[in-house]
Amino acid sequence: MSADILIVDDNESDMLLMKEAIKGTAMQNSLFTVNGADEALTFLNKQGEYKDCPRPDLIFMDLNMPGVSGLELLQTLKQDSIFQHIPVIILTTSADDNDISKCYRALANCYVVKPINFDRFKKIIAVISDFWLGIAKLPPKNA
Amino acid sequence: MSSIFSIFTDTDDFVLPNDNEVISVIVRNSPMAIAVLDSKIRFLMVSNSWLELHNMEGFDIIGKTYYEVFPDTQNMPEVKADHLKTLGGERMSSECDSIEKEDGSIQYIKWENRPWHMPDNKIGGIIMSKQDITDNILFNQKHELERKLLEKAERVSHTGHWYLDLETDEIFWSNEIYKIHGLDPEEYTPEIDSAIDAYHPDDREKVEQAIQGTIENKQPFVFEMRIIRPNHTLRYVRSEGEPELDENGNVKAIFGVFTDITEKHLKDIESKQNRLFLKAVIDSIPDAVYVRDKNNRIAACNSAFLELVGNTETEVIGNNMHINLFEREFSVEELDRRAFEEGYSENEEIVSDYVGNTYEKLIKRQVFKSPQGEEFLLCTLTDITQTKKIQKGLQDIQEITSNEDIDSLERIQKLLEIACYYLRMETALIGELQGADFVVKNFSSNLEDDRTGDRCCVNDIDCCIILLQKEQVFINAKPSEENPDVHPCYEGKTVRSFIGIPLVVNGHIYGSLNISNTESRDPDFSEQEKSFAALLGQVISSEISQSIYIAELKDRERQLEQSNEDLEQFATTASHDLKQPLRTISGFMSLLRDKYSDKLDDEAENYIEKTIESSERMEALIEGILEYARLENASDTPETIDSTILIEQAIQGLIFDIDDLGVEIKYGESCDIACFPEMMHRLIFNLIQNAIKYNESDPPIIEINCVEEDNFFKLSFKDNGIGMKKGHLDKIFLMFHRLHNDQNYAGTGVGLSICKRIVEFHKGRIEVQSEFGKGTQFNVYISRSLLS
Repeated sequence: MSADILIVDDNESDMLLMKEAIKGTAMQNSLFTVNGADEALTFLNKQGEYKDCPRPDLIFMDLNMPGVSGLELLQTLKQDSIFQHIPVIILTTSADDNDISKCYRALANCYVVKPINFDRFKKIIAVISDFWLGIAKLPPKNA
Repeated sequence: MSSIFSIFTDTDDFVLPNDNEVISVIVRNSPMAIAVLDSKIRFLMVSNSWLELHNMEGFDIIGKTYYEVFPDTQNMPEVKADHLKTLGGERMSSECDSIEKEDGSIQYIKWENRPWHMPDNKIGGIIMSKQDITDNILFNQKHELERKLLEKAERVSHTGHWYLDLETDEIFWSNEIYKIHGLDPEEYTPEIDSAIDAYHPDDREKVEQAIQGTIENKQPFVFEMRIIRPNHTLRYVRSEGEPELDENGNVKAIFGVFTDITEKHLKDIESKQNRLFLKAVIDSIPDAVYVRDKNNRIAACNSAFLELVGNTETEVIGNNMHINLFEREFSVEELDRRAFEEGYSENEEIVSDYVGNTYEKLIKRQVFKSPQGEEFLLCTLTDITQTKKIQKGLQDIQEITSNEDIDSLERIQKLLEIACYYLRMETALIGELQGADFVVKNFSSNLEDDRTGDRCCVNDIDCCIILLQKEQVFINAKPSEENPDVHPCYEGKTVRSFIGIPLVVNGHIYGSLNISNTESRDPDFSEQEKSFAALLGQVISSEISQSIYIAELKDRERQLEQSNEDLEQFATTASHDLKQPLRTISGFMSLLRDKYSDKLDDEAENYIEKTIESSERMEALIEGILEYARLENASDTPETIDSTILIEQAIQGLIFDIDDLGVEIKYGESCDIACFPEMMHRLIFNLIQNAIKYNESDPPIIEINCVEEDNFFKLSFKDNGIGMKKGHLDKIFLMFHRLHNDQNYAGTGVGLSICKRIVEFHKGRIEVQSEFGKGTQFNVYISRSLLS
């Protein structure tokens, strides 16, 4: 089964590592990347260059981004009836309790702290993908 | 005098009748004491009266010589000489000779010896006439005495008498009358027309009416009037008079008496003035004063007392007045009786007046003795209603200022309400001087809407002049007076009574406390009220000063909080920003190793591993800093918690290590400790973790005790670990300080720094005892007063 994954992260290196980590999983996935919240909304609303892109099945999102923050983007998505059903995984450096609880209050589906160790990171990504795209049942595309 | 006597006395040329017998009979029967003697001083004829006078009734002395009849005179040559003188033609006489009689009484004799002539004009002998004037003399003596006594009596009693003969219009004055008039009897003779001039002009009519009235009505009169003496001094005289009637019943004369009552009158005036003075004094006492006698009757009182009981003086004096006490089972009378026995008493009572208004009175009673030795009780009722009210006000002020549950602003608001209530004013406000403006900061009124925030120019406000002079002002303007209105804070409002108290805060004029009323005040502000207002001003000043201080403190606290938040934000951001490149380094190193392992030799792979390890260690350090920075988590509130629970939670977090290494944890004593639970959890976690980490024993053993010791909770953690050398002990709590390298024991050197910080946050201390190779004990003391 092929899933469409959207990665929202402003940091190019992180994005690269993320892609590598996801590529290492067994799933056949389509990866889309945007480098900020504004672009994420453009993507999701299929505007401009993204007009032919699919609606993602899963979103990985960093919190600390310039401009609109990850938390604000999360709140926007979860309040929008078109996007609120899409699982959002927060992947961030912050292990701050405040951040964690704020995200869950904003209905994040999962909050994961990025480890420094890349092997562990790969494992985590594998577990997440396995769970959300394998075990968990996601709503149909046209929901 | 009888006519017969005059025969012998008045006519020198008398010729004795020839008929001796006849003459002899005439002489014998003469009522006068007469004796006719011849030239040989022999008795020729003698009257019976003469014999009687000499106690010689029945004696026949005719033909005997004088010296034979009065043998005593034989040895008195002066008698013979006198007789010879008479025989020579000389008359001898004495107006009054005193003779001591046989019974010892004195006889007064008036006598005359004269010659008698023969027809040839030769002296034939002596005619002796004698008169017993003893009665006359005695009468005169008595009369003289009486006259002197009367004079004396008049002098002593300042009473004189006068007599007005209406037929002759003559006036007689006694000496004392002259004296009273200040006139000399030698120089002045009273006359009916001029006498009236001696009287005070205002009294002349009264005098004339009295005299006239007596003449017409024949009634006596009494009146008092004033006499002006020639030296212009004034005498007060009591004049009494009564008419003397003639046979027809008409008034022929008036007898009168003057009494000089000037001294008595002046004394009366003085004593009356004294009485009035004393009365005025006790009436001017604001306290109700009354005096009770032993029989419980009111003997005296003042007007304040009469006002209280609602009676007149005549109704009260001599009666047992009832004074109403409020809600008491005993009466004032009872208290008074008791005071009579004890000599003094003092108590505070609520007394109601006759209308039913109640007042708090301090009743003082004192027994005293009158000059006559009679005991009385002096009672004073001092009104302490206002004192009590002010006292209550002071209590309220005290309560408000010590009330920690409300803030300064609310306290000031309540103080303004107190100002209105206890000073009976409508509006109280606090204005702050801001440059040229006067701004209402706090406002309380039962008359107007809140004016907080109102602003006006200082020059428009009368009281600001006072403010600048730091003086208190009390204005009570009666409506009738000119320009009675003051505008303490704003235009267009009539204020008739006003209190302005400058508020001095930290040595500078802050503004003023203005208390005002649209009505004037009667009575005026009392001294008590004035000092009450002044005190309020002081209290409010200190409240303002305190609120300023608290605001500054809060500001500083907020700044500190902000700076702490900034620091935490900095730590969070810094650690995030630091971690991200670390992750990138570590990530790409891992990718390099994984993807290009076939192209790298062992040494290259070793380099890559070292890089990854360093990155991870760096991450741990950053986490440590972050944890240290976040220690004072605002969500962590202190609570009392069982130490065992805290320890078990920490053990739970280390359960894998404990299980793997077979760590034995021995619980000693435990107790409830007051702490910030999250921090305390971290502290215990770190110390147990250390005890496990630096331990080579098998099994590692950790003993944990928690006891109350003095003012602290003491937690001790004792292990059988590797221990430390003495020289290292004082450095272990330093940030990033490590005793071991990563090869032996992984660590960041942050854990114990965090522990130390947590303990300090709990107002306590952490101590370490260690023996190298044997084990280490950490003692943690945290303050027991953390929660209080």
